[in-house]
Amino acid sequence: MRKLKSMDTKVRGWLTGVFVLFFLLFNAPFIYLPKGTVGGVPSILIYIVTNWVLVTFFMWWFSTKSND
Amino acid sequence: MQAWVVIMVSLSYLLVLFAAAHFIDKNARSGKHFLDYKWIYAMSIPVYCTAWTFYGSVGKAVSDGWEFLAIYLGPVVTMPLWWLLVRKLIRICEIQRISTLPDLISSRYGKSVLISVLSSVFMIIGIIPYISIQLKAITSSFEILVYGEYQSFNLSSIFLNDSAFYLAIILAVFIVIFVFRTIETTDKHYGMMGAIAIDSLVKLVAFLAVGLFVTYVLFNGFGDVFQKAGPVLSQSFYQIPSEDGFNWFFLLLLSMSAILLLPRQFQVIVSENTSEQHLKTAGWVFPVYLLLINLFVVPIALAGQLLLPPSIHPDSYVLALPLQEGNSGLALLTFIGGFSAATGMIIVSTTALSTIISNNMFVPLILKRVENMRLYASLPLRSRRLAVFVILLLAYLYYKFVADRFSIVSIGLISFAAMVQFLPSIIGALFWKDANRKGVLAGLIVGYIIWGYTLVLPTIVEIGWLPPSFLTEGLWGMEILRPEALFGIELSPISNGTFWSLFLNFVLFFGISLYSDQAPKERNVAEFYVDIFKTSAPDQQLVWKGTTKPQNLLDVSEDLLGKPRTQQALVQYEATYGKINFSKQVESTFVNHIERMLAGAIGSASARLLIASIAKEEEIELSDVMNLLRETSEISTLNSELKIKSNELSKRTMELERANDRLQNLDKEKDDFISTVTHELRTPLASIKAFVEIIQDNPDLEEKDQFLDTINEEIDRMTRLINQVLDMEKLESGVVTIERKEVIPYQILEDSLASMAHLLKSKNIELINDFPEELQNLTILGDQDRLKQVFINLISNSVKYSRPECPRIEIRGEHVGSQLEISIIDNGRGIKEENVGMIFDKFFQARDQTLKKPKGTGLGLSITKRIVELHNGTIGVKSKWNLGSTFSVKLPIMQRG
Repeated sequence: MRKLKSMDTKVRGWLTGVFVLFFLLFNAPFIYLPKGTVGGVPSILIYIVTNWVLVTFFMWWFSTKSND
Repeated sequence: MQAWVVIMVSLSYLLVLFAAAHFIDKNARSGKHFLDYKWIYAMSIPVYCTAWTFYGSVGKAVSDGWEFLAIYLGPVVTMPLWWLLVRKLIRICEIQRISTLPDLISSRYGKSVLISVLSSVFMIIGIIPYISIQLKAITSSFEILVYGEYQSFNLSSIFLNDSAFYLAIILAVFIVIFVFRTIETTDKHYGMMGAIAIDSLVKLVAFLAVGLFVTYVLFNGFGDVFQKAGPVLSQSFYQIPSEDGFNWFFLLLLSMSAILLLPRQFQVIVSENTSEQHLKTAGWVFPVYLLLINLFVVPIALAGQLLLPPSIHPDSYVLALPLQEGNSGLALLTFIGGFSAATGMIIVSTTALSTIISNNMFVPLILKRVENMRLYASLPLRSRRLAVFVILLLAYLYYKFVADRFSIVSIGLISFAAMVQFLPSIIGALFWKDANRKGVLAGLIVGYIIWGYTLVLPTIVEIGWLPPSFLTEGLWGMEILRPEALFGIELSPISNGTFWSLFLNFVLFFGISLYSDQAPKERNVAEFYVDIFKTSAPDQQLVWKGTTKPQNLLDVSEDLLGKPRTQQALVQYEATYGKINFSKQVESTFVNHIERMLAGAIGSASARLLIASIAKEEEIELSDVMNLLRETSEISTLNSELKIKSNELSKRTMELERANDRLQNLDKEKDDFISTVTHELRTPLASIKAFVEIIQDNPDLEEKDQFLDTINEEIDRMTRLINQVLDMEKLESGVVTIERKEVIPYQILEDSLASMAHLLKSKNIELINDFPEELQNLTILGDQDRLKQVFINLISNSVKYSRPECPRIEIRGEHVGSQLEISIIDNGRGIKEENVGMIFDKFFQARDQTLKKPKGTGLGLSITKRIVELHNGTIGVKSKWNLGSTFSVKLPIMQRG
């Protein structure tokens, strides 16, 4: 039971942690940091798209894991 | 473009949608799915992207820069929580047969009719404006496409003179035909979901087409758009201004809540879910979709400002740009994209709201007034169908009289702020057992009052139904009560309204729940909901006390659900709990079971009222709930112990299997050993017997001495074999122990060489001594005789397999770490690569089919290895065929001091 409970708690912990991480990354103060341009494209756009892709990749990776 | 062309294309699109919905539905009901449902499920969630996304995002980007993106980042950020939060919602709704958000809230908080009605009213007030802006988007885009401009707030064309009115009717008919066929709201609507998924695809393709056209045809890519826009126009896109921090945060919060709390989102994500595993696919498909559909918003916004006249509203840029460039085909595609975005939202939202009106308002109110609901069994379904027309009519009127004056986004955000008022009650329902009905009521009522005051009243002032002083001077002339800056805090209107309404909602919900009592029945449901993943038998989890006969419940179920469905419910129940005794009073499990079935059709509050009207119910006491909790806890503990025992049993079984495998291997080894030893003994015995017989038959034989010598050799060989077998047995069984005295390995080696000097000389073997002088006196703890046995065996092997010409044996010594390595190197025949790994196996020579006659017993090296290991040492071999072998023995040096 202890083993099963710790697996469930681990999954919950990881998912909550990832949520908190991306909530911060898409919020103050991080989202105010990128300034200027890269190749004519605003840095903030690159920052947002990069983090967006990271969340998507994490969710895709999670979907490849087995049940629960 | 000609109006009839646009109308024909739109109608054709709707017909295709109808046909697809019909086809998908028909196949699904006969068990055929042309596509895995998880993809349809994942692609229906983008119903979140409405005309707001298609048209309004560009408008918002023009006015407020990056802020438009917060509406899409919110859902993306929540994705990791879906497996925890949404799965719980799906599980509860599946078990309790809940299909709408107000039903969930009412069911959780005491199955209260008041909460059911209030939350339904609030939801309808919040969503009607949102539906209205979809109608506005379709109408305005139609007029721009056909007439080149859109005249807003045109009350001269209304109802029969207005295309929007006909559109509303067509959509209402679609919903009634494809959605409300049966009374069951928890039936899955495969056709509708398929249609929504097609809508999602169409609007994405359309928007991407416009985006690619603007970015790569009108300009030369993203960089070129920003460069040509220049610093003034594109300034707001270089970063998010820090003073907009609160605005950004509240927009994120709104969208994080809306993705689940909007009725259409709840419908597709929770009610239409068929497998919790589908959440995993949706978890990455939806963020990809949102990224793609937002990719070209900024280029379109900048391009519109550069290329279009100021009279064109930014909400129309998406359509106006291809029109200005004369690309009618693309313009028509764009129109269809916006059309699909809007119609998808209208269909799903209206479906959800109609169910809410019927189940959470109409039926409970009727039940309170009629004696026998069975006489009105068809009323829920009819009321739902009627509600569809009522909702769309209200949305149409709101569009004509209010929404037309405002941008799409501003109205949409007000709806979001309305939905976020359900956030405290939902979080409490899922995670906090002490959350109760009184807290929810207080929070919702105050939350919606503040929402109305801060966000809805300003729109009414804007259209002239209230004096402007209301906004500038506040209620009763008190500036501190100004709707758009309540209590003196200056935020954007939407942030101001969201903050105060949600804050007071939370405080009251939390405070009142904490300090007020919770009814035992409500507590029972709370325990059940919060611990839903621990539930295996839902009908046993909810306490019910009362008296009625089972047939009464079946009768009312037949009237509402029909005979086939009722029979199915009965069969399901009896499969779990056994046959029902119809002459006895009903079991609580059966009551719970039937109540859940009814809730799927008429909502939980109505189902509760219906059961209460049939059965003579008794008040549930806290002790009843505590007893059930205790039993559940005991069962849960027993289950856990059973799981532990089961795991232990599995471990023991695996150990037994491994031991069995070992025993079988040992048995096989023993058989091999016996077979080989008897063969090795039989061969020389046969030879001896043959020679003896020859001698007996021919006493005067000339070769008699030679034969007697051979007989002697064979007897010696057998003796050696038997001795070695006995020796091996003693070493392996531990009968013989190694004497541990201080000995000098080099001296033992020299003694071994001396005892074999005669043999070495007779074979003309050159002996090379490369043993360093400084290592010759190193000592180890060991058995002198046994070590001599080792060296003699190795040296005699080198002699045995030495080459006839220039045979050579070299002795080497090396200090390796804390060990002394003694190597015996010969230039003899060597060992084949495939045999090197087996050279120390017992009887290897006997098994080696390449040897005509083994030169020994085949046990020498196994015994040597065993002796070395008993001295805590190791033995190894390196060899190349026809080049010789090197046998190395490593022994631990004795540590002094």
